[in-house]
Amino acid sequence: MMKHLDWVRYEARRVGLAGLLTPLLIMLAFSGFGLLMRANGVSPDRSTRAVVAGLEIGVATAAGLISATLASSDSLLELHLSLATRYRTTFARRLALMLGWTALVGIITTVVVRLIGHELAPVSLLAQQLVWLAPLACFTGIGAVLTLLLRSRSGAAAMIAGIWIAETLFGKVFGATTWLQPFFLFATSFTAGKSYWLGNRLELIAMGLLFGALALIWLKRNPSILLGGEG
Amino acid sequence: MSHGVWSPFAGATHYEFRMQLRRKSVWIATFLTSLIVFTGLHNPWNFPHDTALSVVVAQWAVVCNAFAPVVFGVLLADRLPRDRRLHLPELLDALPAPSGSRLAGKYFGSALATATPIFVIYLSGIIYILADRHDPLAVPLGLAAFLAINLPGLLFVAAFSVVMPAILWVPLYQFLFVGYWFWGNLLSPSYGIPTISTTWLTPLGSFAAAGFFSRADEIMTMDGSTGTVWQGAGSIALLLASAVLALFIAQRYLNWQRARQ
Repeated sequence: MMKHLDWVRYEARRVGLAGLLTPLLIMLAFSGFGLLMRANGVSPDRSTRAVVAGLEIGVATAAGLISATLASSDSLLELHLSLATRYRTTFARRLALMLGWTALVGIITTVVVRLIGHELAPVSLLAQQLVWLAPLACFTGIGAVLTLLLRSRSGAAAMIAGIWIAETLFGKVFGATTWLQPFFLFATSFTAGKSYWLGNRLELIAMGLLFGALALIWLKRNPSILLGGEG
Repeated sequence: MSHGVWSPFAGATHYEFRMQLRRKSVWIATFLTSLIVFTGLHNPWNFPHDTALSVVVAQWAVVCNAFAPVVFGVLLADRLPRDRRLHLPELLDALPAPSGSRLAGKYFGSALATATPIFVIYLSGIIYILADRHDPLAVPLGLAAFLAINLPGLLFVAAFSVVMPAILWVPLYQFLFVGYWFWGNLLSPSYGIPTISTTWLTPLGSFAAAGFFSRADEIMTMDGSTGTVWQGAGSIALLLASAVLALFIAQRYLNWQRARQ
């Protein structure tokens, strides 16, 4: 138990205040946008969408960027590969820590929004957790796999930024095209309440798990893949 | 610039350029993401033949500038942290080359290299216009549009992307940068959130496009802004001055940080 607490403490220190504060700051900023929209006379329904966007677009995309960084952020990677604890184990722990913390921010946000009398999506509070869980899982998996594929953190981050831009600008097209719907990460922000929503959420989680597993298997089969990458 | 300042600058620019240009991820990420560029309604093949050549060219430059700088900025964010990770500052500080020249070289070299794939994509559109219109003026006009519309915005973005990770965690900067791009370029002021889009400080290049290449109402920009020649020049000057200021402050900060060690 103590050992587990030790690594949580150690990894949390490594991720640092910036890493831990990132999802919190994003939610505060988007909630601020929501309040600002309310102050400017925007309807409560539309201003609540700022909070939905914070969870679904903001927090999830940031998790993807962090995941891309975590996959290859160990400056002592070479040394680590010679230790008994495998690098994929360390990577999985770091990922779990980041996901756990982000999930906590997501759960608290949905509960707070419900407590002040608003709804993030026209579903139960339990199902509302899928607003952030689905894109979070998918972006995290994509971030990890892209870093291994491109052997570059910033290359993976640039691709995530591209997905973010594309899905935001063509949100309506993604929502209206049947074959694109399973890949629509921001379905709640653009088309909340549509019949494909639940299926879309489950498909995204499945994709995230698949990408995550792929990254771990890849690190198991070829642990030195990140050595000599582009950084 | 004296020889002692110029030579390290030229050397740093040269090496940073070559190093960044060789990164496969720069080319792959830019090309894949630029596929978005070709899905819009204002590509060179979407205009009727009676549209003025300058409008088609400038519109293509604006379309490229709406998406490509996002990838460009994210890709540049790891340049300073990379040096720190490899403990390069400790080594380079032992050399007589001034740190300002090195930072300026890093900025220009990596920015120009990362802009190269964007220029290639942009050029493909200009070649299409040339083949479609049979008008050789498309080439000089295309180059002028890239210099006036795309380059100031890219240099502005590059300055912040190179220096901001000196104080911000890279993923946090990348997130804030993409968020800024939506907020400061693509968000309409009518949305209820105060924004700097439609101001001179918009790296999208709308003012330069509308001011230099057409009558104000002919260019359809992402943020709907229009401008005169003077506004175009003012926007370019403001973007470049902001980039210089960011580099200057970063240089002072890095020197202060070094002095504290």
